[in-house]
Amino acid sequence: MPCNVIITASESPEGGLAALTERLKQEGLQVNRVFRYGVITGTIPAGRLADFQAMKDVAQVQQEPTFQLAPPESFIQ
Amino acid sequence: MQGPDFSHRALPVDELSLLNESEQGAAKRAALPDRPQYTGRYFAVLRQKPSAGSLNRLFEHQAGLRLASTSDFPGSVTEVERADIDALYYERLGVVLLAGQAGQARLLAEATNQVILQPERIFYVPGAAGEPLPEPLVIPATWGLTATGAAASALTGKGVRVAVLDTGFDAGHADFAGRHLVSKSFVPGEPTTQDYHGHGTHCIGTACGRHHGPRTRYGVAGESEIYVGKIFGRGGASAGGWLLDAIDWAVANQCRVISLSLGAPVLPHQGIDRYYELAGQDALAHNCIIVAAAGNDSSRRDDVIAPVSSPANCASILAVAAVDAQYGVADFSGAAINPHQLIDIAAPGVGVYSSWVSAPDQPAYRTISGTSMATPHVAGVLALLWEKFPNFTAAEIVAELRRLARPLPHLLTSDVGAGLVQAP
Repeated sequence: MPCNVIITASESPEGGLAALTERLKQEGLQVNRVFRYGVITGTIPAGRLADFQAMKDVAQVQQEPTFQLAPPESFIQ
Repeated sequence: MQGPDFSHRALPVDELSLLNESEQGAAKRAALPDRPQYTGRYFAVLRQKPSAGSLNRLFEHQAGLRLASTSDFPGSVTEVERADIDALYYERLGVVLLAGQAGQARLLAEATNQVILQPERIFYVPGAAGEPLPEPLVIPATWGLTATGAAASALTGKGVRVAVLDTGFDAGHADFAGRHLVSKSFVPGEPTTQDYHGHGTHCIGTACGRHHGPRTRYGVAGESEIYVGKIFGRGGASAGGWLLDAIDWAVANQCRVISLSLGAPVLPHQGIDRYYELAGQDALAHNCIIVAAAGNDSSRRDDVIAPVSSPANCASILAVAAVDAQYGVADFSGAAINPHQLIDIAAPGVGVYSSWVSAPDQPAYRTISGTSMATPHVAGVLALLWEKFPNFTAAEIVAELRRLARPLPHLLTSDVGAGLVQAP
């Protein structure tokens, strides 16, 4: 089951953000978006989170968080 | 001598009636629709209470005017109308009404300096001749707009782009007709930005709503430009990646404020989500300020106090706590439990009335609570600040926001930050 992730790059990745994105793609990341401030969103194969976390210039790999609103009839929103 | 005339025939203005008129009065009179302003009669206002007999001496012997007093006619006005008199003395008021016209007034003016002459004005009911009714002086507003001073502010957020990333917006809501509105959906498979929940419409109402007629005003920045980013799908769920996309869109569209009435619960000792911090820093660098809800996971009456939610817990994002109308912290409002994950400011978040998703031609409203409701108050105030200081940096706007906030000394900084948000 593929996993949506948010990857945070280190401060100054070697070769820049574009180079890091390439390396991540080679490793199996399906890129969704690259944000100029050093964040990449995409999808990785199941069970491979630790592999990506261990990569050079990757500060953090996190499973994409979700938000859930209270139902419309709730008094506290 | 002309007979008594206590009728109400309208007569043209003559020179004497302009005696006491001020410049302002003259300008206003010139602006009025063309209709008679004076009856032609005069009031003689007595400078001091007359001694017994002195009034008779003045009017009858000196000015030759037959004088009677209202106390002589305990019955009806018609008695007065039939009486053979030139002047009627209203004893309790110290005023004499001269029945004749300028001629009689001139006689009196020549006889004494003990009276002030004023022409008798004609009053009209406003709106009777088709001119617009005056605006009510007191416009009812929600307690939140009053407590933040937004109701009294002359600023409207005009020209400021405010993005609200939420469940979308009920663009058909009657209160928003004619508003500048840009919408985009970031929910895969749901291209419409129509609000199916209500949350987004409520938050946009608080931040950007405008006053309409006699209805209670509920919006802070009524002339702001509304950017709707739909990030919640029909089931009320969103994902971090959609939020990042929407933030990027708002920044790219020169929005000055992004309002996030959302949050993921954070545990004690848990760190921040760095990617939100980076997104927040990027926004600030582009003169865009992100505000987010501090979270509703506390239950203070049970001694449960939850840390500030993500993304509000990031330093580059303003975390907004909720207070109630008695300036107490809302039972559910999050607090600065984790180091560096602070509450920045507080805003009205209990019993907040605003727009809700409506049926066509039937605008709806709802009163709900949450740090979700507090957040758009701050977003709206930021829009007012951006309108007031268009050349400030984001950091300067935030500094001013903090400076203006009303301290709540009976409450903790960890609960309310700088205090209750105040509009410029």
